[in-house]
Amino acid sequence: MSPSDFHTPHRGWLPHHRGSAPARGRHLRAAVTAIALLAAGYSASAADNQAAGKPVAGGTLTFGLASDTAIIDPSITGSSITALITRNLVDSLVGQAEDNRFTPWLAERWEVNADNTVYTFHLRRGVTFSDGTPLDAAAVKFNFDRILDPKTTSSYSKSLLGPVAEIAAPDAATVVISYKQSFAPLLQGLSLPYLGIQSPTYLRDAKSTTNTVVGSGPFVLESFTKGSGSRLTKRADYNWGPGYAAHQGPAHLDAIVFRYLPESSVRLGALSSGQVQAIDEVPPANFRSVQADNRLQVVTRENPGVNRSLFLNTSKGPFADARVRQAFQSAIDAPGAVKAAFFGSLKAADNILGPSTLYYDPTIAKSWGFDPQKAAKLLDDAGWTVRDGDGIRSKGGERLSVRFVYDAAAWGASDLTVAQAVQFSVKKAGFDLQLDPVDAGGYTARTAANDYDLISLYYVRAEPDILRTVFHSAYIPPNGANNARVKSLDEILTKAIGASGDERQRLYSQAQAEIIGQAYAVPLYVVAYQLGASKKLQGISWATNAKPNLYDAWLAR
Amino acid sequence: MPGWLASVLPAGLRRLGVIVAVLWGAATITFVAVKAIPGDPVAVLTGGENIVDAAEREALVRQFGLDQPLPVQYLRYIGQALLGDFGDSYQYRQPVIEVIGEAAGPTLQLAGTAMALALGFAFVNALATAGRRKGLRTVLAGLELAVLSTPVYWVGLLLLTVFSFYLGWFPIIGGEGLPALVLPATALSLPLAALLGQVLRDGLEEALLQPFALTVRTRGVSETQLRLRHALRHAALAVSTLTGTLFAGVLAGSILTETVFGRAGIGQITLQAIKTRDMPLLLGLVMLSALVSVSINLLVDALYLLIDPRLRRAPR
Repeated sequence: MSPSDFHTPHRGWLPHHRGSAPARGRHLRAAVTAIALLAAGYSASAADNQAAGKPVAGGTLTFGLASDTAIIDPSITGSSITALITRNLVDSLVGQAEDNRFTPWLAERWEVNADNTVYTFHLRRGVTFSDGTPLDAAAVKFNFDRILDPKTTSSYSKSLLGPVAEIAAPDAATVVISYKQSFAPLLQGLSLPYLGIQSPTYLRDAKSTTNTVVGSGPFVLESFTKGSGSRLTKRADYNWGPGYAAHQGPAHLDAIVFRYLPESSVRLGALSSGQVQAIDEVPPANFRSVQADNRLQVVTRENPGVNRSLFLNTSKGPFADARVRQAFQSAIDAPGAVKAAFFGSLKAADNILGPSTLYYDPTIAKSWGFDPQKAAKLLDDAGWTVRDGDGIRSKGGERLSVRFVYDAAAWGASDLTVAQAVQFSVKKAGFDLQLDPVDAGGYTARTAANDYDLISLYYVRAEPDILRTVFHSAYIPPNGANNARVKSLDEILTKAIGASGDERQRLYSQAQAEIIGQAYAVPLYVVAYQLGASKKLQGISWATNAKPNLYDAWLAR
Repeated sequence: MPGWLASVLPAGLRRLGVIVAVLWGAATITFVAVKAIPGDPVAVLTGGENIVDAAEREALVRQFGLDQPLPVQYLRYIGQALLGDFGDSYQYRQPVIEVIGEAAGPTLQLAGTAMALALGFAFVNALATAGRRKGLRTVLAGLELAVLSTPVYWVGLLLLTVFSFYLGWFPIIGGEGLPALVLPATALSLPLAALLGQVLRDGLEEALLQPFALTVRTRGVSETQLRLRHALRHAALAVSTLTGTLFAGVLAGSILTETVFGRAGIGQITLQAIKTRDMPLLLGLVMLSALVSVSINLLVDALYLLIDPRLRRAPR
């Protein structure tokens, strides 16, 4: 199971060999050298990222990736790796800055009508695709029509476009998207590479788009090999970067090579030996050793969207009773579990949404937490009063036993530690939490058949509309990820799609309060993108889907 | 040569019949297995992001013929497979044949190099130590045991750490050229070399004790000559059988090697196909491995005739 932006931080299925001896020796020596240098009065500023100088043009950035993608066409996949790679290949109509503000990109400006049903975009002129085709309104319309066409079998991109009524191109520089009903999340969706614009000439002629992309971005895809990686080269005439970028004109780097290195010790070895300048998914156990290396840095970027959480099946069993759910929520020491599993490299979650998500409500944090007394009282009130020899409660002869179904292959070692800590923590309150590992197919089958009490997942998205995918009744499995099988939030979440400003914020606050208050979910931790990089790599900025942007990046000599 | 043809033709036809039966059996078993395992093809079809409404779901199911009764699906699948058409891979959205074709090159390169290396190591090792050089023999036999008992991926990690990360001789980012092949092929070949070496040495030692060895020696032929021209043929018979079986094993080992070294190939694709329940691709891959193993068996049988003249004269 690898839904978009939805995988566990590590999915390695081989045992992780934590830094073998020679590599470790090197770290140690480097650290000793660093201390010696400092003691001798040298400044370490050359290696210090803060003392960034003027960007240098040139060089090839090699980036080691823990996961591969099956398809490189961003319009027909939800893969987060495809998003990372193609962000450099395709441009979007609008950009979204790190502070969630929207900036011009391919669209110089735009107007949205009062009820969010008509969006008018005015395109920048003089933009061309790398195959020479001009980027005009017809090209944009062609892209979106293609995504909406059922024959394209686009799923994620299509969901980002929403309930489109019509896409019109009244003149070469104007695109009008109109909706059947109000749709506020469009701009955020448009800013993602999944709705990036590709060359219509290329799309029309291509027999298959799974291995190629032709866009108007700062880099051109030179090669893409499944299971190995891709190579991107700079486009010298690029001059239409996003409004949030630090510079204009062509990218600083000459080329970017993405190299698929699924084994975490290999990724780490490649980074510390200088063969690659950046890696993703730094293993939590090696976090400190990378930080301790004075040539390397770890940059942690918290994901917006739905935090890694446990979703309680409200449709049946003990969790049909809100008091039992609330007791379960109060019985979990999430901060303790997360700290034990991730060695402090990730933060415990305090809400269903991550802090960098639009309309994240910081007041929710105070409304819940680890409270064994509260858990005991709630369970007593709910009638689960008898305790057996193991301390497990029961009611009318039924044991308070709940099954947590998870995809073992997508569930990393640290996640398993979290699950075991949760198991231990709720046992004290009288829950018998059973871990029920299955394979990917089994997971889909079990969720579709409503055969589970708990499920865990997370979603990456800066737009709070992601809550609809996880809590609207239309998305109860098999049609989506509403694994809590909640039906009471439909009205709020539907209304919020069309609302604007304060009203929208109020609706999402209400939804967050209900999700936590009714204990539909127990948030565990804020998933983060953990970039391990050479200190020579500078100028990285972050996309709102917590992926590094490489347009402004450069390599110090 | 009509007489020759007449004797070979029935045997050939029988062989062909067996091949077809094996392929059909493999196809059927895979089909049944894939259908029996739980999973939702639509989840894979839509790029993993399982947001599809009922209408879309139905359209996809119809498009891929998943709404038809199982016997119909089976017949259609066997019929198309006969024509070499395995349909489109769910996750790659490309014809299965194309996906396998893209991946086959790098894997064949890797497997072929590893096999050649292994045979090379094994022959040199066996010729040098069978029945002589006690000290070297003991050391090598110990090494063989150690390598055989070590998982391939661990050997790979070790080689990477020493030769790539520490010494920097073979950068892991080297691309697909020959230097990039050295470490993975070595990692893959070592356990094979160890096994083949053991078998070959045993065979050689046994052959050297045969009366014909004594006869050859009395003719005054040098020891090396004796080993190369006379004893090796005897020992090679067992090795050729083993090589056939091992080659199929090499394909399995390539999954681990390709993962450790981040190489494209059949191994990676197989892993992905299993992980995501990509049924058409899985079926294609099973058919491929069935085809590879029957062809290798055929080849090994032909090799027998080449190595051992006695089999050529065997009365039928």
